[in-house]
Amino acid sequence: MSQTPGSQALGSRTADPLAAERAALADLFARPDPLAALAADGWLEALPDPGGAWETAGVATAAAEAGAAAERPVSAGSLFAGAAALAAAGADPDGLAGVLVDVRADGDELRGRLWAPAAADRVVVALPGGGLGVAALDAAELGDDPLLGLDRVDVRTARIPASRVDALAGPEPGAVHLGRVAHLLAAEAIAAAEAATARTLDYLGSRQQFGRPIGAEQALQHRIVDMHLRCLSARTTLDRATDAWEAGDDERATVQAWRAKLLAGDGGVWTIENAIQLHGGIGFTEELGLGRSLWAAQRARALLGGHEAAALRVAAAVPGVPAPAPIDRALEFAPASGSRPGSAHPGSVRA
Amino acid sequence: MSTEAWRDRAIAWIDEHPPPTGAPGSGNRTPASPEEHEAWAAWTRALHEAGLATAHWPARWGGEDASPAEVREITRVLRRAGAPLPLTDVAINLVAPSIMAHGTEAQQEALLPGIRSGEAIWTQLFSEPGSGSDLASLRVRAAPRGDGFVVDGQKVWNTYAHLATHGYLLARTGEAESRHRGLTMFCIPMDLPGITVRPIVELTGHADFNEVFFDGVELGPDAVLGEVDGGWAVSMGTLGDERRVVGNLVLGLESDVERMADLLGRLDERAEPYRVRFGVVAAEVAALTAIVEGGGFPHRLEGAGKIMFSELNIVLGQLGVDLAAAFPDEVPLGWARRWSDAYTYTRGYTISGGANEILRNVIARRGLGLPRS
Repeated sequence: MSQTPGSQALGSRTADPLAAERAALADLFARPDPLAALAADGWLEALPDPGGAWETAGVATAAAEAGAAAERPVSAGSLFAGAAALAAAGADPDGLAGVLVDVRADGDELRGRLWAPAAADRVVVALPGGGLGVAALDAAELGDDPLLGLDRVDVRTARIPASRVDALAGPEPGAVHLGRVAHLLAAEAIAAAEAATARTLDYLGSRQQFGRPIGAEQALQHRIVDMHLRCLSARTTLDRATDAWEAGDDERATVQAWRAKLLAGDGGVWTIENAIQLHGGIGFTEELGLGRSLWAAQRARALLGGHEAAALRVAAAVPGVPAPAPIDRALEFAPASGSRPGSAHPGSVRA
Repeated sequence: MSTEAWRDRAIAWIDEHPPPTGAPGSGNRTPASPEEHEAWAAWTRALHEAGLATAHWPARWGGEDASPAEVREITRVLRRAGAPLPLTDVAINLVAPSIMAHGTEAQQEALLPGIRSGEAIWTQLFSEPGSGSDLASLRVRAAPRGDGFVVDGQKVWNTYAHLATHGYLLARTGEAESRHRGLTMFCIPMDLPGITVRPIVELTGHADFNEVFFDGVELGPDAVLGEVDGGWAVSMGTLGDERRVVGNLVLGLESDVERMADLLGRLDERAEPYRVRFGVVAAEVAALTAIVEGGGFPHRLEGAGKIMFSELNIVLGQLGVDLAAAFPDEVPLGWARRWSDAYTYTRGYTISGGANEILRNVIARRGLGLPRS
C-alpha cells in the first residue's frame, strides 16, 4: 500500500506503486472527451467483460463517434478507472481498478459506492469535496449495495480506512475532476438512451398488430417523439460540455457537465423505461438488453449524490442562487484522524 | 455592428424607455384601458423608431441586417428589463417575412413601411369555428367578383383583431372540397365595410383574442399575397419561420429563470426543495437555448421547439405560483401577480400555433417516418 504523499512530492519519488495510475488518469482527464478518447485508443476492445454485463449498447454511440468499431457497452465510470489501472498494469486485466464515488467520512473510514469490474484490486476515490485519491482494495471491505448493480455491472459498497487513501494530485481542482466524472456518467446514459430510442423507432415500424405497424398508433407516436426530445436536450448539453472541455474552459464545462448529468439521468431513465414499454413483452426480456441500458441511466441519475444533488448544483450555477450546502456537506470528505501530512492538493485527504 | 454593440444600444434605449405600466411579462397581451393602450402603443412605436424591432430587416426596408445572434441579444436585454412583446409582434414575426418573400413590389412598398414604423398592428385570420387543427378544411369564402373578391364567413382566436389596422387572411377561393389546394392569402385593411370584431374573454380574465365576422367584404386583386389558390404555401412559410419565434420565446424563459434565481437568493433553506425543481427547469431551459442557438432543431424534429418551450413554460409558471404561495412574506405581491398571470397564460401556448398533439403527429409521420394512424 502506498505511503506516497501528495502532489508536491510526486516527481521526486522513485518507488511509487501507483505512479502509473496517476499518469494514466492525468492523461485521460487531459482529453476533451475521455470516453471517446478511450474508444479511439482501443480500450473498449481491451477491457474484459465481466458477467457479460458490457454487451449491450452502453457507449456504442460515443464509441462510434470516436471512430471505433467497438459495440461493447461499458460503464463509463468503471471504464475510466479500469483504463487507468490497465495502463498501470500493462493491459493485465488483473490490475483493473474501480472508482469510489458518493464518498463520505465515517469515523476513520471512508464509505462510498464502488463501481468497478469484479477483478478490481485498486480503487480511485472521487471526492465530491474535491480531488481524487487512490487506494488498494480489500475484498473484506466490500458489501452489497442496496440500490445499484441489478444489471450486473459491479456496484458495491466499500469501506476503506481513510489513512490508506493517497491523495492524487492533478492540475485541476477537485470540482473539475468531479465534473468530468459527471460528464462520463451522462455520456453513458445518453448513449444508452439514444440507442434504445433508435431501436424502439425501428420496432414501431416493423412490429405488426391488428394488421398494421404498431407505430401507426398515435399514443405510441407521441411517446417516441418525446423520447427523441429528451435525448436531444441531454445530447446538446453534453456536446456543449465537451466543447467547453475542449476550449479549456473548465468552469463552464463543469456547469454543462452537471446539467448533462441531470438531463441524462432523468431523461435517460424515462426514455429507456418507455423503450421497454413500447417493446411490450420482448422489452421485458433479459435477452433484449434494455434492462442493462436502464441501469446505465439509473447510475447516471443516482451516483454523485443523485437527482437532487445534481439539480441543486445546476441551480447554484444560476447567478443569485445559493450553493447547495446541505447535500455537499453530507458528501464532503471530512478530516479524518490518521491522514498523512503532505497531501496538499485542495480538497484532498489532509489532517 | 457586433453583438456587444447591439446589447449596449438596447440597454441604452430601455434605460430611457422603461416598459409601459401594466404590461405583463409574456405573450401577446391587451392593454387593460385606453390610457394603458396609448402608453403601450407609444412605447412600441419608440422601439420601432430606434430600429430595435426590425434590426434583422434588410437595409432596403429600413433594417440593419442584424444576425440572429444580434437579434437575440436585443430581445434578451428587453426581456430582462421586463418589457412586453411589442404590439407589432405578429406583424414582425409572421406577416413581414411573408410579404418580403411573396409580395409584389407594390405590396411591399404599401405595407412594409407601416410595419417598420410600428404604426401598423396586424392580426392573423386563420382559424375558424370548424377549422382549428385541421386548417385545410377552412370555409371562409373569398368568391371571385369582377377582378376582385367578396369575403363571407367567420374567423376565430384572432389575437389583436380588436386593435388591428391590418389582417392576414387565409380564405377559400377554390371549391368547397379543394382542401389546401384552394386557399389564398390576403393582406387586408381591418376597417373595410362588413368586418365585425368581437373580443373573447379568455381564462386569464383578459380579452386578447377575438372572433371576426365577414359579411360581403369586398377586396381588390391587389389584396392577394402570392398566387390565387397558392395560400397554403404562404401560410406554411409563416409557420416555418419557427426558429426566430421560438428563439424569442425561449429568451422569455431565460429571463424568468434569472428572475426566479433572484428570488431564491433571498429565501433561506426552507426554499431548498424549490431549488431542486428550479435546477431541473434551469437545465431544461439551458438545453433548449443551446439547441436554438446551435442552429436549431434537426430537420426530423422540426416543430419541436414550440412543444418544448410551451411545456417548460408551464413547469416554470407552476414553480412561480408555488413559490409565491409558500413564501407570501418574501415574494413581492407584484411578482406573485405576475407569475399567476404568466402561469395562466401558459395554457394558451400549448394550443396556439398548432396544438402540441398535432405537432407530435406531424413529427412522428414526416420526421420519423411512422405511418398515418
